[in-house]
Amino acid sequence: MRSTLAVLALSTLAAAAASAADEPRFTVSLNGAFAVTSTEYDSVRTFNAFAEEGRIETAYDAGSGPGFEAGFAWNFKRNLAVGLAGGMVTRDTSGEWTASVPHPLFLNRNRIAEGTEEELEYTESQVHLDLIYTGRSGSFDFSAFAGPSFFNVSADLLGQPDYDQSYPFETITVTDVPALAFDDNGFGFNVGAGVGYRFTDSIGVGVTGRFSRATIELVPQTGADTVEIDAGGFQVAGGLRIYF
Amino acid sequence: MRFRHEGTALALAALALGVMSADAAEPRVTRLAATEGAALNDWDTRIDSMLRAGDLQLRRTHEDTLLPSRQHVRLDQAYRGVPVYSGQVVRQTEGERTVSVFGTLYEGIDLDPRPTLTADQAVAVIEKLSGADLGPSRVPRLVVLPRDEGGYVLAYTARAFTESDLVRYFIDARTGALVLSRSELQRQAVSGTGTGVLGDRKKMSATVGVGGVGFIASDEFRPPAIFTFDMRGNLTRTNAILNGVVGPTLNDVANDSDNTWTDGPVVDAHSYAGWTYDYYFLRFNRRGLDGNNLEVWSLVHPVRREDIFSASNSVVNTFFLNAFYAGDGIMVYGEGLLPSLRLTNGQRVDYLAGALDIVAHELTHGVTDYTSGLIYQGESGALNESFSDMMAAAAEFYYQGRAPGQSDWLIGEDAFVPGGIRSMQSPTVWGDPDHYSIRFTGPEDNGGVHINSGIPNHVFYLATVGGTNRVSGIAVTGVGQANIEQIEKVMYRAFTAMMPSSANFSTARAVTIQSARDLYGAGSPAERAVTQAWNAVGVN
Repeated sequence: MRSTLAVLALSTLAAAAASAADEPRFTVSLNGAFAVTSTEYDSVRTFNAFAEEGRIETAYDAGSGPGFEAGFAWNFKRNLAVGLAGGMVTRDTSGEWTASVPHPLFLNRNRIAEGTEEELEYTESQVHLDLIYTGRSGSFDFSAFAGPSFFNVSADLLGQPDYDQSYPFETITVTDVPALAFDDNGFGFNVGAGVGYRFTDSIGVGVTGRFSRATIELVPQTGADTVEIDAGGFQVAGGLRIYF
Repeated sequence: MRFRHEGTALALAALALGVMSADAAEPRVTRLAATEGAALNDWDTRIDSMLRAGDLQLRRTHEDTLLPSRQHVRLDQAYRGVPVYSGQVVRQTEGERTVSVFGTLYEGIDLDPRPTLTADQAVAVIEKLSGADLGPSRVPRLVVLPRDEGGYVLAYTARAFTESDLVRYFIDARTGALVLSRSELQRQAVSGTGTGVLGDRKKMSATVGVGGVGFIASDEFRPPAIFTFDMRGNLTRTNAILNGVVGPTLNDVANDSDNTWTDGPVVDAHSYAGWTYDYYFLRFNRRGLDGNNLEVWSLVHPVRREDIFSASNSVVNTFFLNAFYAGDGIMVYGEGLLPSLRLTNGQRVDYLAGALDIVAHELTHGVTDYTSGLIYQGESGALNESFSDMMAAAAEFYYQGRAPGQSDWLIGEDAFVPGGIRSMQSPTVWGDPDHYSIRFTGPEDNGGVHINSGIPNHVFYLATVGGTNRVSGIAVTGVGQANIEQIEKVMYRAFTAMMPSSANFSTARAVTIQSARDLYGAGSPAERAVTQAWNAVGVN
C-alpha cells in the first residue's frame, strides 16, 4: 500500500515537552523515512489511430521507497501538543501495460501488445497537522497522534505507445511507451505513534510509525480517464530530536 | 500498370537528358547553421552584404507566434536576378540582434542567365511531356538549378498533373531538354471509414489528397497500389481508359472530403480489392495478381443508372448487369439497376461492387491470367470460371465466417437479390449442371464456360462439406467446413501452379488429386474428398 511522510518527530517532541512544566515546550525533529507499504492504481488512455479508438491500460505498482521528513511541535499543555510535519517519499514504480491499437485496414481488429515499464517516477509529498498525546518515562518519550493531512502526488502515467508495424499489420511491435508526469493535491488523515530517547535535555533520537491516507485524482490530458491513487499507507521514520 | 511504366521511362529519359545538358561549373554548397559567436556574426554580415548586392531577396517575414519578441526573415538566393532553386536562408532576429541563421547557399555559379527559350516554349515542352494542359495561369519560373551530379543549369520549372501524379518538371532554358522531373504528390496513407453498398461500415485505405485537401481512394498501406476510379457515369471516358486511349487522371480517382466515405460502390470496390489481396497473401502467401504486386484499378460508376432506358442491350449487359476483369489488373463493376427495376426472373440488381465474392471472382481472373492462363473456351474456360468462383466463395468464408446470412455457397447473392447467379451447392438451381453427363455442349457462352463451371464448382463444395451428388447418388465425405482451408489450398495450388492452359475436366481431376496428395499425403482426407467429389460429378 502506500507510505506517508513521517511527522513522528513532532509527536516525540511534543511528548517530551508535556512531561513537566519546566520541560522544553518546543521540539524539532529531523528524520529519514521509509514508505513500507505499496500502492496500486490503474490508468486508461484512449487515442485515435486509423479511424478507430485505441487504448492503453496500465496497472501501476508503486512500491516501498525512501524519503525524509521534518517536524515541529509545541506543547501547549501537559501531555498535549500540536505538531506540523512535512516530508517526501519516492517509490519504485512500474507499470504493466496492455495496448490495443486499431488495424489500419479492418474495423474491430485491434492488435494487442503487452509490456512493463520500469523506473517510473512517483513522488509523494505530505504535510500533517496533528494533535499529539505525550507521555514520559525516564529518558523515554512516548506519543500518539492523529490529524488531517495534505498530500501532493506526482506520478508518471503512460501515454500513447509508439510502435512499428508492417503489412499485413497483424501484429505491432511497441518501441516506446512515453511517460508523462502529472500531479495533483488532496486531503486525508494520518494516525500514528512514536517513541523517543533523550540523551540530554536538548538532544535525543526517536522513531515513529504512521498510517496516512488520501485519495488523489490525477487528471491527465484529453483521452485519459482520471486516475485515482490511494496515497499514503504505513510509513516509518526515525532521526534526531532537538528540544528547547 | 501502364502509366507507372511510362513514368519510369520518363524519369530515365529525364536523367539521361539532364546529364547531357549540365553546365561545367562545380557547385559549392554551403549549409549554414550559425547560432552564436563569430560564426553568427560573420554570416550576419555576409547576409547583409548579399542583400545589398541582390544575391539574396526577401521572400517573407513573419512574427514568431510562440516567442512574440522574435522575427523570422526568409531570403531566397538569386544569381544575377534569377532565383537559385532551393538556395535559401532563414534569419531569426530579436530586435536588432540576430539569434540564428540557417540555410543553404550555392556558390561558384557561372552561367548566362538569359534564356533562349521563352516561357511559352517551355510550357509547350512540359505539356508534351505530361500530356496535360497547363493553362494560362501555370507560368513556368526561370531558375538556376543546382545539379546533384555537379554544375548548374538555367531552367524553367513548373508543375503539371499527369495521369496520376503531380510532377515538377525542369526544362533547360536554352535547349528545351528535360533536365529533371519528380513527383510532388504528397502521399500520406491514412485510414478512413466507409459505408458499403449493403450499409455495412468498413475501413477505407485512402491517401491524403493533393495539397492536403480531401482524400482519394488510393491504398498506400498494402504492397501494391490499389486505386479506385469513379467514372461518374461517363461511359465514353470509361471505354477510352479501358482501350488505353487515355490514362486516368487524379480527377478520376474517387475522392471524399472528410474520409468518411459514403459512396457504397466506391467503398466496396476499394476495400474488397484490398481484402482479396489480403486473402491471397494470408492464405497462399501470394503477392497480388501477378505474384509481384501488380497495381489494381477498380472502375466504378461506368454508367449512370438512369441512363439505362437509352442504353443498348450490350451496354446494359456489360456495364449495368456485369462486372469484368479487363486485363492488366483493371476491374470494372456494373452499376446495377434502379431500385424500381427487376430482371425478368424478379431479381433486383444492386451495385456489383457491393458483393465481395464478385470482386474476388474478377480479381481471380487476373490470377488465372498470370498463372495457368486457362483458355476461355469450353471445359478449360469453365475451369477458369470455376476457379474464380472457388476463390470467391473461399474469400467470403474467410472474412464473413459461417454465420447465417453471411458467407454461403452462392455466387453474387449480395448483388443479384435474391439468390445470386450460381450455386456451388446446387448448381441446377440456376440451370447449371451438377454432373458431367448433363454438361452443356452448345456453342453459346463460349461453349458453356459459365454454365459448365457448375460441375467443378460442385466438386469444390462436395470436397469441403461432403454430401451426395444428385445425379450419381455417390456420397462424398468432405473434409468439413472447418477444414475448408485444405481444399482451398489444393485448388489454389492446382489451378495456379499445375494446371495447363488447355486443361479439360479430366485433366483438372488428375491435377487437383495430385495437388491434394502433394499437400496432405496419399490417402489423406483431402485427397479422398477431392477424388470422391470428382467421382460423384462423373469426371474420371
